[in-house]
Amino acid sequence: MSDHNDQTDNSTGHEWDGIRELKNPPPTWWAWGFYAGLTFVTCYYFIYPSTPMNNKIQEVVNGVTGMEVMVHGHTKGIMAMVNSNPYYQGEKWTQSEIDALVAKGHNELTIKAGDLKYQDGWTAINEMRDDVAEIEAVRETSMAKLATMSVDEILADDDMRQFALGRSVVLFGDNCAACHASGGQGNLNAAHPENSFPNLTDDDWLFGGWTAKIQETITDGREASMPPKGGNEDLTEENIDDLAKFVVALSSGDAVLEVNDDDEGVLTKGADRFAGANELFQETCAGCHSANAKGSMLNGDFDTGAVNLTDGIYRFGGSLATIKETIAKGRTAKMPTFADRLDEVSIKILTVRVHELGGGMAGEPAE
Amino acid sequence: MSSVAEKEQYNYDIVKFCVIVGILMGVIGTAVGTWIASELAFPILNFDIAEISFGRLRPVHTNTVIFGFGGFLLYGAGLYMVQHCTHARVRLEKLAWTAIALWLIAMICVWVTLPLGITQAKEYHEAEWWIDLMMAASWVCFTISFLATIAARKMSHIYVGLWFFISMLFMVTYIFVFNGLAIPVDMTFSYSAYSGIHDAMTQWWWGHNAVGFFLTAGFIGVMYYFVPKHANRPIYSYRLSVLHFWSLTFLYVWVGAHHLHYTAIPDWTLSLGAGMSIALIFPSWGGMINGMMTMSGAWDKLRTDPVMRFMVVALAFYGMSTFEGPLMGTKSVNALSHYTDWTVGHVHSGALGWNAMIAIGAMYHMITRMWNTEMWSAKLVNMHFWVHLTGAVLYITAMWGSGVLQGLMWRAFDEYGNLVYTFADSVAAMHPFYALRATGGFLVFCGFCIMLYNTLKTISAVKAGTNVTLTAEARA
Amino acid sequence: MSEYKKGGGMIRGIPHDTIEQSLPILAVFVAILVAVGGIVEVVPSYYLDDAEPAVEGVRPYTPLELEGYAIYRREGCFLCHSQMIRPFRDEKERYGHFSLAAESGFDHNYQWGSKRTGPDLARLGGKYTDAWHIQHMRAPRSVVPESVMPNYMWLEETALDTSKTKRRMEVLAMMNVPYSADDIANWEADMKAQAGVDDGDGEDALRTRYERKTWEIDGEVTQWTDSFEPTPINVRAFDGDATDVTELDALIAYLQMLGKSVHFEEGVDYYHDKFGQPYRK
Ligand code: HEC
Ligand code: HEC
Ligand code: HEC
Ligand code: HEM
Ligand code: HEM
Ligand SMILES: [Ca+2]
Ligand SMILES: [Ca+2]
Ligand SMILES: [Cu+2]
Repeated sequence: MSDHNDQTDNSTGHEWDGIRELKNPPPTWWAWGFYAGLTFVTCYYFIYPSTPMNNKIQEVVNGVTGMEVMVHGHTKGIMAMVNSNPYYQGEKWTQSEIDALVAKGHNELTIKAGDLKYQDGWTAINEMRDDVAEIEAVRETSMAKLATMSVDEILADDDMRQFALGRSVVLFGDNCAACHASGGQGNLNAAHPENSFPNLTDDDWLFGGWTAKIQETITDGREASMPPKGGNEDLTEENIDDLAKFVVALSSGDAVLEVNDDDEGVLTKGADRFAGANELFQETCAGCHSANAKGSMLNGDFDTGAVNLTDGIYRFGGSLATIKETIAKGRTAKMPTFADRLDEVSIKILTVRVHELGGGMAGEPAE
Repeated sequence: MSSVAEKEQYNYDIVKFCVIVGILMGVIGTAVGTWIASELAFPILNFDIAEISFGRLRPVHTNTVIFGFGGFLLYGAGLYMVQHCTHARVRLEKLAWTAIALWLIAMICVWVTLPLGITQAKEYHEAEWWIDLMMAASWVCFTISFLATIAARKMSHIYVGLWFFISMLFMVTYIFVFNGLAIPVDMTFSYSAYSGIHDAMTQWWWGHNAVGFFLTAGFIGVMYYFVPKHANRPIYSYRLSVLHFWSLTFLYVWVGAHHLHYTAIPDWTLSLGAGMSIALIFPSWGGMINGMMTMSGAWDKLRTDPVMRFMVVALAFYGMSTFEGPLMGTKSVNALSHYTDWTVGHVHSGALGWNAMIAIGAMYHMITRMWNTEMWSAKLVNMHFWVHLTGAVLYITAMWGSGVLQGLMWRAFDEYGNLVYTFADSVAAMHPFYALRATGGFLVFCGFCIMLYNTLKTISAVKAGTNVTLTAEARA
Repeated sequence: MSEYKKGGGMIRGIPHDTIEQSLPILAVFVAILVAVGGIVEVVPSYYLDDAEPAVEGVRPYTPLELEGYAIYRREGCFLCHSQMIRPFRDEKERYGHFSLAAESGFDHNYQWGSKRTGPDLARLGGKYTDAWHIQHMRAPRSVVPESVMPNYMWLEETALDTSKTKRRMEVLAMMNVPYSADDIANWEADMKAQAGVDDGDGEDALRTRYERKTWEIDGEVTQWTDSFEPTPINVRAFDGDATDVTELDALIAYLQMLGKSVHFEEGVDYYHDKFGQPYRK
């Protein structure tokens, strides 16, 4: 047999295809490391929740040691036994908390008043509680103050405004920038105008740039809808073409529309070319965009979102083709509601940011 | 000790096939890897083609490198060393060939189905159920043939390298089968038999041990033959072999949970995984030490022999990634590293540093021995080494950089207690690292191309009779 | 031989020599040893009842959402997006309440992911509008310039393949996802109703089926508390076109319900429902 030959060296005497094995002991440092590892893991398992227990084993263990706290479904680790452990001494359920749960319909509760809420040692969630508490402590004063202030008060208070703006960076970036772009400049989508998102940095507002209105927008969201052909089935291709050119002219200054004493929109400029279009406009569009075409918002209607057509700022794009498409197909757009995603303070902070983006309006909306 | 005549009684055809396919898989796998790396750096490279979009191509990369490159190396080197370490010709040769054919067919099916979006959506287990069946059948065929060869050994003792193979064969069978259990909807879709936390645990019991047994135990087995053989030195410590074999085999299985730290998996399970991860350092290092110390008396080879260099550097990377891995297996480090490129860096320090380099070394070794020739160009082997090493180091450092940066950016709070970076900031910050990684990957890919070229030239030189045959000393 | 046994063969009193010389012994030892860790870690989660408690609000996907889930899987979204918010203060602020086990309890297979190339999506539902998703799936960089996500413009152009929907539900029902026979029989009407292609006739039926509070899992009836209001099903043309059911309809329907099912009530400690002392059985 080829595996039992040369034993003159320090080998086991085996050989496979010329490979032999020496009888050297493992390096001492390796052996120490190896045992240290095993020791570590043993300690670790006592410190942290680690060993699963089925009901039988659990009963036995608890019966013998009286350590219900330690073993429930699994061992909880020694932290559960250390009396100074904050989790061990953690909050207890109070009767009123339980009553509140019952009132909400949780009528099968197994807990009693006085039961510990956190009967465990280290857990991931307890660790989070600590970390959250730590970071909340850092901003506690500021946040508590923000909670009591209105957005306008925050804007007036330099320190609080700065804090809010600082905190708003990530709030805006993670929640709003996807639509309104990181700088709030919105997104004009030439290929798909219906998927454009409004610019928040200009002075042109759909629903109002006062803090109250911005806050309302973020909290409840918005939905604005322009029906196809302004809701007037009878509009012909030609009419639409005329209207579109009229809209462009209103922005470029080739046509100027003013409201006379009878609340009628009359052309003070461009009447020669756009009289017909204006007639259509007053009949079909003015209901939303107002007789002067300055949009619903400037005329005191903050919910419709019918845009100002005279300022050259376009929500969906200003090319003739896009405007024609807008008129022919209509537009519906939504801003999502953030009431159930962000808390009130966060929404205030965002309101501050949006107001400070550049186009914020002062004072109160005249309702 | 074996004579040339003895060697000729081994079945080399099957090994030659595996080695050549393995090199091809290396080329393809790293090409796809470089491509997806470039897609992350320059998303335009998705070219708006569904089949090559990142999400569909990434599993093509992982499957090709792990099961294609890794798989054919394990099959090839396994069959090579089991013959050499038993002095017996492989038993049930038809079964072994069947294993190899099925594996190759499965790989081809994977290349077709994954880009089409036909996937089980489990990492490293993406192939649909019917491909799984092929792979499982292949694995069982290989296992039987391999064990039968060991049973036919011409000596009393089983070599340590083969122990590791045996542990791989069993464990991979378990985990592959259990993780793969699914109910088919049709040929293109199936639902895992598990859901939620159960599916997660089963997945990472598989995922980790695919690493632990396929990419570690199997490759350690390979190391145990090729390092001492190539260095022509005895294994340093038999006792170490025994200790680290049993401890590695037992402990590795426990740590899959470290892929799920802080998730909805119960805390106790995660602690089991975290604790064992640390305990795993020294069992893992046992293999590295035994390999490295085996070099004593042969260190000079490092200067002259690039193949030896591949193997030794592989061991160094192995040591490093089995130190890094346990660190990442602890809760606090994982809290930072999980979900980031750090994991990807760790993966590739294992994959490019350890797996690929030991595989490449073993492949060069086998090629020269099986064809009884020097490589066509020793210079190219040397160049392969440096190109590969540079690429791997670029890749790994880029991913450490991006991973740690990403992790820190996500969790950064300023002195007022507010988050500092948006998620999009972190995406933007990754760009230079992704470009660097793609560059590193490209180098590794070039290395494989060099290897393929050199191998083909070597073989054709043998055919033409213009090669330089190995000296008797080298053959011993 | 004898010397050998004294030397290397005995390791700490264990006759390793014997093991090494016998393939059956070696193989059996290995086969048993490698099974232990897995059994200890994977099996108990099935019988320890506090591992995965039921949470009110978690319901199976509607047929349309189910197809969306399949597309999410098909495109490999989970390779870049996680759906598992960890209990960290930064993730809490960025993504919301940490994920509960029950929230993925009906996901065969789970979609937690292991890499966040893109942000976590576990609580995505309702964060953006359909219009945004349409544009974002079509061309992510047109809305988020930093993005590295591929364009998925083919989704809005591809009619949804519904040939598997029924079978999908049947297979899931076999695995205790609580679809009733009625749910399965009406898959097509429900799907069309949800995508807004049926003039609204089927909407009520769809809502009755999926906003219900009684679910039968494995022969056991789970009844949610009376006061619990299930989250309303989203019903509309998700891809902006009410004449067809496209892949994009399905995908957005899925994305828009992620994380919406459980109501995280102020004052209710979901943690203890999770592992500790369950406050409610
Ligand atoms: C899914 C896309 C989307 C997201 C996310 C989004 N918005 Fe909007 N937002 C819109 C759209 C669309 C409008 C216009 C609504 C309309 O035209 O009906 C709008 C309008 C607004 C307006 C009113 C602008 C005006 O001219 O009156 C404000 C203010 C605003 N958003 C702020 C925010 C803030 C702050 C956030 C983040 C918390 C945010 N938005 C998130 C899409 C979005
Ligand atoms: C029912 C109310 C309503 C009527 C009637 C109406 N609009 Fe509008 N219009 C809107 C609203 C609301 C928007 C903004 C849509 C949005 O932001 O979602 C809008 C937007 C527009 C825009 C897009 C401007 C831009 O900035 O891109 C144009 C152009 C326009 N309307 C022209 C018209 C014309 C011309 C008519 C008559 C044919 C008309 N509208 C009738 C409500 C109306
Ligand atoms: C190559 C990686 C990649 C792939 C694959 C990918 N994404 Fe993304 N995803 C990103 C990145 C990066 C972002 C962040 C930037 C952005 O919003 O586009 C993102 C953002 C998102 C968002 C916005 C999340 C938020 O809260 O802002 C959604 C929704 C999304 N992806 C869905 C998907 C879906 C669905 C798929 C599969 C069809 C997918 N992604 C595939 C990388 C990817
Ligand atoms: C003792 C040894 C090792 C330990 C304890 C270990 C531990 C870990 C940990 C903690 C992770 C990260 C999990 C996460 O956060 O998602 C990981 C990921 C990974 N490791 Fe290791 N590792 C070890 C060795 C190796 C080696 C040698 C390789 C060889 C290639 C390897 C391959 C991988 C792979 C592929 C992943 C990625 C899994 C995924 O897809 O998320 N590991 N490992
Ligand atoms: C040219 C060389 C290579 C390049 C450029 C490359 C590139 C990549 C990229 C870009 C990813 C995706 C990472 C992400 O999602 O962010 C990846 C994943 C992966 N690669 Fe490679 N790769 C290469 C070689 C290899 C090799 C040789 C192996 C294995 C032997 C390997 C194993 C893996 C694994 C296991 C993953 C999954 C990691 C995870 O899930 O965390 N790669 N690779
Ligand atoms: Ca991964
Ligand atoms: Ca549609
Ligand atoms: Cu692992």
